[in-house]
Order: sequence, then structure tokens, then C-alpha cells
Amino acid sequence: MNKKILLLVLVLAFGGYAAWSFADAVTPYVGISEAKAAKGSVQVKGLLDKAAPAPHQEGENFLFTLQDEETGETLPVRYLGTKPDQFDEAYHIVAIGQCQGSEFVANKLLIKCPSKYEQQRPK
Amino acid sequence: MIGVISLAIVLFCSLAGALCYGAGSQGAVGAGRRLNFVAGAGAAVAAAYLMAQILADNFGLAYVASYSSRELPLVYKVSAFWAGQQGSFLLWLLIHGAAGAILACGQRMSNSGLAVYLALEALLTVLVLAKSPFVPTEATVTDGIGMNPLLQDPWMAVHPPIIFLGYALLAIPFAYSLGALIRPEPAKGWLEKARQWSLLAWAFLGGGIFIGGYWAYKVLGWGGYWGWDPVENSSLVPWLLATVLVHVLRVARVRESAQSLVDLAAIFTYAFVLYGTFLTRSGILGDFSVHSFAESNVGLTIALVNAFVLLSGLLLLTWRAKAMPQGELYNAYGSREFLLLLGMLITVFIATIVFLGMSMPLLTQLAGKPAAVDTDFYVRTTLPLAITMMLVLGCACQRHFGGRVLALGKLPYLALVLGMAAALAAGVRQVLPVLLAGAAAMGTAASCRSFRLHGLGLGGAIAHAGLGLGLLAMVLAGSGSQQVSRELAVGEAQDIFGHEIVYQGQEFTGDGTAKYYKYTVDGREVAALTKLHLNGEDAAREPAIDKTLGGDVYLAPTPTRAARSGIRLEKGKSAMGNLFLYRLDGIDIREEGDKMRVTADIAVTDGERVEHAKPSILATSEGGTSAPIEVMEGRERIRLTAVAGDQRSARLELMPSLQEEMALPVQTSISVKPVIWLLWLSAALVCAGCLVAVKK
Repeated sequence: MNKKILLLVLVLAFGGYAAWSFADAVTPYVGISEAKAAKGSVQVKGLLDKAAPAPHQEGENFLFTLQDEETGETLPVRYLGTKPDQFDEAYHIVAIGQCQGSEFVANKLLIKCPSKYEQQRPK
Repeated sequence: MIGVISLAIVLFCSLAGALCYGAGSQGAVGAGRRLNFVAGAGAAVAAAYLMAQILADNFGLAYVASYSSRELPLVYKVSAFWAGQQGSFLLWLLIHGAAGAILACGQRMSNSGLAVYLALEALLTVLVLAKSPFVPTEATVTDGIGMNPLLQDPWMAVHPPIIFLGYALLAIPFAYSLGALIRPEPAKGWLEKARQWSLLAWAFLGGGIFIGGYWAYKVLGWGGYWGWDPVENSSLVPWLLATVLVHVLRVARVRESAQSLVDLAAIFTYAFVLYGTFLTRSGILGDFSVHSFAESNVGLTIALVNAFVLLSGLLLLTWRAKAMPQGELYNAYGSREFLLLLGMLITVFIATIVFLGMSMPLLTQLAGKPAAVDTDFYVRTTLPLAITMMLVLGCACQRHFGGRVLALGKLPYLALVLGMAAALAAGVRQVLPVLLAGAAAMGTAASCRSFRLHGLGLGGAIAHAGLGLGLLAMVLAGSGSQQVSRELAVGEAQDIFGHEIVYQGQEFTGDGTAKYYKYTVDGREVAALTKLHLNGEDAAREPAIDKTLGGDVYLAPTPTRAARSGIRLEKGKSAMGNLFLYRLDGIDIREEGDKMRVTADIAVTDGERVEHAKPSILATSEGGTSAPIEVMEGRERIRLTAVAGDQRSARLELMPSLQEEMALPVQTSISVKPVIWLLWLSAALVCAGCLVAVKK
């Protein structure tokens, strides 16, 4: 019987550990207006704002502007890294990070292309 | 037609075969075996037919038109077979069918096991038919869209087939388990065979994952050797569960009562193979993954198959629970049995973390607001578990089954200290990674010592030593890695992390399909390849890697190119470009086979003399391509981008000379990765050890 208790204790300990670590790590998926209001880390999806200053490198950071697909609201993004691959072909950009002042500081970008496994039509 | 008919035959034969094997009478079993062979042959015919269509450039099939093209080199035409979902499912079915035919020979598997196996074959066929590679093309296609340049890599020829070999073979332990649950048979007979097949599947799936990791490391865009991306995680979870499977199979050899654990592991492993397929193929993770397949409607079918496999397995196990061998799983906490099961419990915990992490978007979506976990989460959470697991491995190595102690001596403790010292020396300063380096080194030493004392077989010793070395390498090359981003001008030497790095400029290949960013690292030449589209845009990029015994210097250039501008020309009128005056004199349209070549006659002048340039667009039904040409001794390059329908105007793209472009400075991300070769070596050891263990 005490073997079952041992297993139960281990599983419960793990369950607690998992719940505790997940509580910290989950970053909700939000629109641009919510991203501006959010306290913690979020994922925000948008299109590249073509009207804004062209995306460019500034030292260690890559700067561009996201635009909400529906509301048209814009959000300047400072990505802590260099221009990602296939940035120019992206139809959606997902930035992960949080707002600091008027800027959204992203530590990760997901570039959504039609599909990396599917060739794009030759131009 | 041949393809679909073959698939229909596979579906019919596998279903009928499952019923025949299920009936179990002598005549029925004979028929079942023949149906099994026919089903396997049907899958082979369907696959051969698709391959023939790809090689023959039959763009009448939508699949061939989407993933292959006329100019594609042979090796990539072959690889186009598994470049898309439809073909990769067919490859899976082909392997499943071939393995089924092998199992039907001799007395390899019980009849009830074969019935389960053929039922799975029928389910896989349904998946292939639901997303068939034999759908005809809607519009006429002359050249094919071709393979994504990112996938045009020699590894594309081996990585997917090996992964699918692993996935497909994991159906075999599942069938052994369920077969024995349906009609109980002496465990001794099937456990050993299930162990061999499981090890084989485990080695292939692991090998496929490791190759994928190496490939992702040597190209840019996939986030390094492991990015905790859902597509990667969805293959890791079944592999971790298969790890549990091969270990409980080992325990079951000495403890009959572990048989229900074997069943549980086999069921969950195969269910998670299907779950991973569902997650990555349904497109529901589209917003969360860097390389999920595009959205598709096959998701529901896979989800149903997945639920059916998991539930039928678990129900069967519950139903038979009373009849399973009972008894103690271990006699003492100090026995190999207990430590081994404890290690496997930790492996299950790691698999659970990864599973929950990768499913988070799906789970939270059901609750209303989609959310994902960041990738650091996986490392942070699994780190303490990995340390515990390596310590448990060290302890398990010094015990026999039953609890007798093996005197391993001081070596493991020495390794513990050396491992931690190596991490500190590599510049790692966080506590947990240093501890992991120590525990991993200890696990490696303990495995080797245990082998010398006959506590561990040769295969087991190699695989576990490989695991320890791999974790050690991950700490040294991962936590010990440093990264910086610099703008490098041509010819200027910079001292970065103790290396002298000089950017040497760009070099274009003769045919214009690729260019290299050239560097020297401490005097050694390295180059970063960028494959180019015909129009000169970047298609796929690789880093420049300077490999030494101390580790890699990894240079990732940011795409650099000179500014381009466009001008519109009206027939007979001049327009000013950047350097010269351009005038459109005429447009010529000519057929070239089934394509159309549109050539513009452009007069270029610098005010003194006039030169005629003839840029052109090659138009096919899928679109057009046009390459840049040089004008005025190469001082400017032009490219024809559009021609008006009435042939009265055209658009040109202007770009500066090649020399100017090649001399631009380049923003480069530079990182050092200490002893990363150890990671590749350890991965090879894990697979090799596993294959050695198959024989016994």
C-alpha cells in the first residue's frame, strides 16, 4: 500500500511543480490595444505597417511597426535581435514580449509565411 | 487513377485481413496473410506510381505541381515525395505496409496482433485518402512550383524518411500489446520481439530527430538545433514515451507484473505519434509555430483516429486488468527495478511538460483565450527533472536487478566534479546548468563502469553514456554560448570573443543562383551561403560556421543588398534613372515552347553614347521570372518587372552595380558554441547504442 502512496506523493509533487511553472510561463495572445494595456508578457499578432518608417536595424535591435489587421491601430516594435529570415515575405508577424513605454519590446518574433513547406509562386 | 485504386485496394485488404486474422481459424488466417501481402503491395504500387509521376514531371497531379518542378535536381525530385503532407502520409503507409508484410512471415506476431496491425493500416489509408496526393491539378501547370529552397538540402533526402520509419514502426509494439490483451498469450513469446521492434523504432525516431536538429543548426530560420517548436515537440513526446516503453520492456523481463506498464507505454506512445501528427497537420497551431504545415481540413479525421486508438487501447487494458500478471514491481528502493521505474516516471513527467506546453494554445483556446508558453519555459522546467534523472541513472548503474550492489568506485564522483568544473570553465554561472553538467558527467562515467562490471549491456552502456555526454554538451554549448551582433565592413578585422573575424565581402556564383558572404576566422576561410531566386531575392540562407575542436564560431549575416528603385517607361519617351536616361523603344513577344518570352528593347544613354539593352521576362502559366542584366559596363543593373497589356509601357527595376553591392558592410550575428561537436557525437552514440541493444 505504501508504494501507491509513494507514487501518489511523487505525482502530486510533480503536479504542483508543473502548475507553478505553467502559471508563470503562459503568454496570452492579444490584439494591439490589449498589448498596450497588458502588464506581463504577451503575444501580439499584426501586419507590417507599410506607412510607418521602413523596418531598420539600430545597433543590436531591429525596429518596425505592427498594424492591427482589424482596427488599423499601430504599435512600434523593438525586436532584440537582427532582421529575421523571410521577414519581407511575411503576411503576419507575431511578436512576443511586453510594452515598455510607447514601444513593444519583443524578445521573439514568429514570421508567418504561407508555409515554409510550400514554395511561393515565383515572382 | 492507379494511385486511388491502389489505395482503395489497401483499404479493402487491410480491413478484410484484420477480420480474417481476428476470426483466427486456420483458413481465415491463411487468407489474412494473403490480404496482408496484397495490402502491402497496394501501398507499394501507390507509392511507386506517385514517384513515377514526380520523376516524369506529370504536373497533372496537384501534388507534383506544388512540390516538384521541371528543373529540380533528381535528389530533390525524389525528396518531393515527402515534401508535403499528402506524400508524407503515403510514405508512412508504405513503411507500415512493408513492415506488415515482414510481420506476416514466419511466427513473428500473433494473429490477434496482426489483426490490430492491419486495422491501423486501414486507418492510415483513410488518412491518405482524406488528403490524397492523387488529386488532379485544377489549372494547367507547365513547370511546377517546385520545392521551397529552404528544403533543397541533402538532409531533406534522409530526415523525413527516418522520422516516418520511427513513427510507422511504433505501431508494432502497439499491435503486440493489444494483440496479447485481446487474446492472452505467454508474455515470454512476444515481449522480446516487441522489445526489438521498439528499440528499432526508437533508434530511427531518435536518429531522425537528431538529424533534424543538426540540419536546423546548419541553416538559418529554424532557430538552432532545438527551438521547442510544436513541430519539434510533437516528435519529442512520442520519442520520450518510446524511451519509457523500451525501459519497462526491460523490467518486464525480470518482473512479470510490469506487463501492464508495457501495455500502457505502448498505447500512449502510438497515441502520441498520432496526436503529434494531428497537432502539426491540422493547422491549428498555425499562429504559434515557425514551421507548421498550412491549414487543412484533415485535422478532424486525424483527431478521430487518434481518439479511437487511445480509447480502444485503454478500454481493452481496463477490461483485462484483472487477468494481468500481478505481483511486486520491485523488492527494495535500492534495486535496479525501482530506480529504473523512478527514472521512467521522471521521463513521463518531462514528456507531460512538453505535451502540456505544446498543447497550451489548443487547451487555452478551449477555455476562451488562446495563449502559448515561451520557449525558455521548457528549459527552465525540465532542467531540475533532467538533473534528478541523471542522478537516478547514476544510482541505477550501481545496482543489479534485485538490489545487489556493484562497486563502481570513485570514477563517477570524479566525473561529477569534472563535469561541474568544465561548465564553470566554459563560463556557465547559473546553478542548475552547472549541476546538470556534473550529474550528466557522473551518469556517463557510471554507465561505463557498470558495463565493465557486467551490470549494463554494451548497447545500454553506449546509449546511456551518449545521453550523459549529450546533456553535458547542451550545457557547455548552450549555457556556455555567447552572442553578439556587429556591423562588419569589408576587410576590417574585429576581435570578438577572442577570435579575429574579418568580413571579406560577397561573392556571387557564376550562374547567379547563389551568393556567399565570406569571412575569415583566425585566418581560416568560411562562407555563409544564400540561395537566390531568379529575380535576385534571397531564397534560403545558411550561416558560416568555423569548426574547431574547441567549438564552433557561428556567423549569421543579415540579408544585405543595395537599394533598388523602379521606373515606369512609356514607349518613345525617356525617363531618368539613378545614373542614366532610359527609353522604351519596343516590346517583342515570342513563344518558347509552352512559355512566352517578353523582351523589351531599352535604349540607355549617359548623354554621350547610346546602348541598347534587352531585359526580358519568361512567362509561364504559374507566373514570370526575370533576371537582372548589366548596362553600361556593369555600372547599373536593370530588370524588366512588368509590361502593359497594350505594349505601350513597361516597368524596370534599377539596382547598382554588382561591385557596389558586394562591398556593402554586413550586419552579422556572431556566436561561439563551445564543444558543440560533442552534441553530434553523443546523438550518434545514443542511436548506435540502441541499435546494438536490438541484437541480443
